[in-house]
Amino acid sequence: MLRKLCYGFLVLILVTLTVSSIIYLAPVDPTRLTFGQRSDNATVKAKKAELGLDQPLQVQLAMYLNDVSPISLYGDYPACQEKYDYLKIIGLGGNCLVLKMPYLRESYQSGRRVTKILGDAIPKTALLALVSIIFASILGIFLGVLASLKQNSWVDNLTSILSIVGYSLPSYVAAILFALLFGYFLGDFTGLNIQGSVFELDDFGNEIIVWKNLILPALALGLRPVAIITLLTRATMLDVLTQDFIRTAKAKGISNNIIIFKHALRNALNPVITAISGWFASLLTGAFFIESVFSYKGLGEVTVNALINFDIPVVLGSVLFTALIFILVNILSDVLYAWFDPRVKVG
Amino acid sequence: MKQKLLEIRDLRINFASDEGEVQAVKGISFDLFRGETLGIVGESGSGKSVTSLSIMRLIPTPPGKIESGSITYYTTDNQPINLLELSEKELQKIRGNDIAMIFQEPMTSLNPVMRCGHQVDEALMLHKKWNRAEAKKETLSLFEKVRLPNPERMYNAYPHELSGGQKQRIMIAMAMSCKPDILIADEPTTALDVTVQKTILELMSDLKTEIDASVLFITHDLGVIAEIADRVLVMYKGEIVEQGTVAEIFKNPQHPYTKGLLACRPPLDFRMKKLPVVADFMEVIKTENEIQIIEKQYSIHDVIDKYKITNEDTQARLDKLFLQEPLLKVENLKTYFPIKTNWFGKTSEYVKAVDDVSFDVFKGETLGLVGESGCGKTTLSRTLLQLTKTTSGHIFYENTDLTTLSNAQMRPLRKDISIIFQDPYSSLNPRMTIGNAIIEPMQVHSLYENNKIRKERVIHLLETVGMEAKHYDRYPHEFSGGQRQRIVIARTLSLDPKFVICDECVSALDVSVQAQVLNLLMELREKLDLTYIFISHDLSVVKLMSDRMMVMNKGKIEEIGIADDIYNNPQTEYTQRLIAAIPK
Repeated sequence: MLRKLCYGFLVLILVTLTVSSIIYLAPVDPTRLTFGQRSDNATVKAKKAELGLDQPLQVQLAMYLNDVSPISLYGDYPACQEKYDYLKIIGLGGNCLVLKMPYLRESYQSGRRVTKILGDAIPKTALLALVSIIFASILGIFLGVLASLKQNSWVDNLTSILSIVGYSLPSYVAAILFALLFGYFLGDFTGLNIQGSVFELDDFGNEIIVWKNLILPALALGLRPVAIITLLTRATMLDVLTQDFIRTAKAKGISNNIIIFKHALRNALNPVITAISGWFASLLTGAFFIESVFSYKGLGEVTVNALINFDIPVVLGSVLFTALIFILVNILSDVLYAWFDPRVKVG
Repeated sequence: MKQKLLEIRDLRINFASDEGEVQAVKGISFDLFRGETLGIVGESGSGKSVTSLSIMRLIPTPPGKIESGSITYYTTDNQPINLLELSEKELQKIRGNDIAMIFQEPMTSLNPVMRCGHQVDEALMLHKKWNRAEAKKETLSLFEKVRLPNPERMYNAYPHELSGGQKQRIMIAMAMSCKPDILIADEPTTALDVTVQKTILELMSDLKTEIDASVLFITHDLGVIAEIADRVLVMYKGEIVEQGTVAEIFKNPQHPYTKGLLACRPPLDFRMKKLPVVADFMEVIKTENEIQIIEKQYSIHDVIDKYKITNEDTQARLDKLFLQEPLLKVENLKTYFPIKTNWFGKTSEYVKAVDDVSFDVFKGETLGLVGESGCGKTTLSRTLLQLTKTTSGHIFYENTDLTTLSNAQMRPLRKDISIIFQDPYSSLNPRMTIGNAIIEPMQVHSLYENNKIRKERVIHLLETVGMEAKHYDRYPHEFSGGQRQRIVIARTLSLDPKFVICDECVSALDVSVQAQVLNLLMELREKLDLTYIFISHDLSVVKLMSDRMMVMNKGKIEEIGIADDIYNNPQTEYTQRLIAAIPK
């Protein structure tokens, strides 16, 4: 377990270094983006120095890592303390070793702190991801079990065909179709909006929660996971149902329903968990297309905008968060494995 | 008159297959009385397992189908119930409660993700309508009865944490839990070591008396039947060919197939140059839709006398063998496996699978290696082949130390030293024709000039092991277990090895098939001048095959010596236990 955490930490550092190297090496000048075309050389130079962009690459990388790390080295003076909001551990000459929250710098575009920008976007995306993965897991496992029990019947064939169609459909096509069908043509009937976020401002500028705006994006986002989970559950259930211990359970006189849910399903779930956790991780880190189509202001939309505008700190922050989520979800799914299958040991 | 518990009349079961309907059970009738143990004996495919499953209506449908007949169960107050007419709901009340079953494979018959105790509780809670606490109390006392060590720990253990024998005890506890009238045991000891088999059989007959159940005991081994059953049914190709009390069947077998089954067990008091097989007693002629059996007029005695070897011949053979130089010399061999590593990746605890073992094998000799599962015999064979790296010690093959060779240097020697594995079902690639499977090693070692010559050689090999040229293009699933083991042997022989390790190569086979494969191995030994290390957990088989015998326990050699000497005069308690476990 401890070793896994260490590996995860190493991955995080490598991801940061790789992505930031690529971005810093790209032939774009962020200072120009900040000031626009009509800026004089002196201002640009000053800004560059402030952002550290005039330094060589390795120095820039070291500085970024120092900013991100919770334990880091900074100047020991009030302005610096205010900027990073750190807790001094030990003084080292003019500098000091400090404890702080990771500092992801400020957006070139808006000047807001990246942590704040991500902090606003993440709950929206997390809510969307959670709802759609729960929807996908329940529906997918249910359909998969159903199909496996009625193997080769019309139910099974229909489920399999729909799953393959659902999986092949690109998410933005599904999103547009859903928006068009339920939000526009049937809009009067369903009362759903074509676009919109869960957290909206009402006419008086107060923040309100519009739950129904979650429905269509969650459905569109959950479509491909449903398909995969259905197919996987079906395949593993078919395999498990032919095993000897199922026959033992029957010989005990246990009814079919209990055999399916208590004996077979738990044995069939392991590969399904892998699929669910993988999908959950990628949903958490933002569904770029879906969020754009429904103009749902989550992490996906923030990242896409930052990329278009070369807002390097935001892009880096978003990538870092993505890597972190994948590592955490992987560890979580290992723990879940061991819980579902005692033959697997954690660590 | 004893009370009748089960009455089977004219039962016919068919299986749908690619070649149309196959008749698995062809109209059999028999009764089971209260308190008796009825053995059903027959080889794989004789329909014995299908019959037992049909009583519980557990045949997978499709492809299986009960065509006609009746299976009547008489309840305690003598009410007849035709099990074939019951609904699924009604059956569930009888399964596990009145009729319970123990299966062949304890390894796969328990749910791997459920605690062992809960799997037994489940039946009790279902049929007796008990709550969990009551069920747990009963389960713990059942675990005590089936002599599981530390019942409380076993209750909370998962199946993978237990040994094969312990799992089978759990299965027995489960089957006995609701005190059924009828207990069906389908080859309950076949997957287990002989020593474990003995204790399980004793346990079953004790418990049977205690709960006053009748047992239907299915096996391919007449030796086991003699230990446990009162009456026997002999099944052959879906029909009952003979039935009677155990004493009748053993003293005076009528059907040639029964004679074959009785004669094909390896003898213990004398040596044989080959074992009798069913074909010594009868000839089977297959026509379009009829199987005809022609009986040969030999008694068991005639056949055994024909194959017997005198003590003088045995002595002469041994004298000749020991005059030669050893082909293989093993010195202080150790193979350890790490089980725990500390933070720096350094191993802190080992399993000593092979622990300081030294022995020689002479040219042309068969050295038998016997011991229970986990004693280190398979690790030893893998180490000899350098498939597992040695921890320390030396292996000299014709004066070359194998432990010092690199993989590349070892490769040419792999042609000379070969192995036959235990499981003929998993050691052949299902997507490769058997011809290709046998030709592949020749291609790897660039033996013979071209594929045409190689193919001729493969066909010759197939014929040597008793198969036919037309089998060349067929796939493994088209063959029975015995045939597959022949194919594996042909593949081993394709490289003209001098030294062959047979690792439990007959333990997955029926006794009647085992006799055929053992005969083949003995025949090849003479014909091709082979040297064997023959590994098995069954001392009777090892004794038949080997000149000298080596008993292994916990990675160490318990004793080594002339096979007959060890059998007649075992020195250690462990060897005595192995000998006592052989069904007589």
